[in-house]
Amino acid sequence: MTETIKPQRGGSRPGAGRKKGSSVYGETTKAIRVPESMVPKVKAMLSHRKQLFESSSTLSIPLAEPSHIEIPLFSGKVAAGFPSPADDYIEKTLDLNDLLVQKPAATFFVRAEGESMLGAGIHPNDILVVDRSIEAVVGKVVICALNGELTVKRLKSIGKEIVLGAENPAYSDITVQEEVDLVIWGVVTNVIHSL
Amino acid sequence: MSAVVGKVVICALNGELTVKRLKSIGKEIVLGAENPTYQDITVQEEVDLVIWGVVTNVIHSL
Repeated sequence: MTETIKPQRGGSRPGAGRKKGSSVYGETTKAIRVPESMVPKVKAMLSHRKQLFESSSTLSIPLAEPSHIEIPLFSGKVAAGFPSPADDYIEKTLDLNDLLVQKPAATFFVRAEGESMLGAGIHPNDILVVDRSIEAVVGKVVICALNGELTVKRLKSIGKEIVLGAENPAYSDITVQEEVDLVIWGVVTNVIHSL
Repeated sequence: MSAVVGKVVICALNGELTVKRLKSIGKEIVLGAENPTYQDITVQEEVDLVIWGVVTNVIHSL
């Protein structure tokens, strides 16, 4: 005659362990291996995520740490020979994000089309860096939606009228009429031109 | 990237950094300016020229 004996120790106990979604991130977590070099980055991301969960109930995607690459910037006068990053005639280093993106949340890129702004150094296929936080005053080059069409022009005022000025004699300026639907998206801060 | 004729290059010409377009005129290599008020520079034998690299992009601020 066999009798099943229920062990008195070990085994699973109902209700034990962490509750699902009870982590500091408000969802279930998982253990993973991370390359050592990435640990600080991952930790920073996690703490950002944790803060976000603590500060609001809405889930938002954590902002990635902006990448940072210091590249040597050479001055004009050098001893003859091939440059090495160890040379002492490097003026300083430059990071493109520092140079081009002052306000990451307000910045976007747009590719230029057409030749109406050649005079401002904007060629077809150039990449324009646009900052939405800069006030679009007269004199600035702006990206605007004119009747739903994106265009890049320089803001001018002629008399009482606002004019979207082209910088190519082959193109005419556009006078902004009352009935026109004009939305200014932002001010162009830099032009990246590929050779 | 190899500095072939037609590319815009950064080079040290007698110790002075310059940016010019590489051209060949006849058998000679010329550092070409792209502004009519500047003259092209014909690379002579005795000149110390080191090409540092090819310019891929230009960033200009408005």
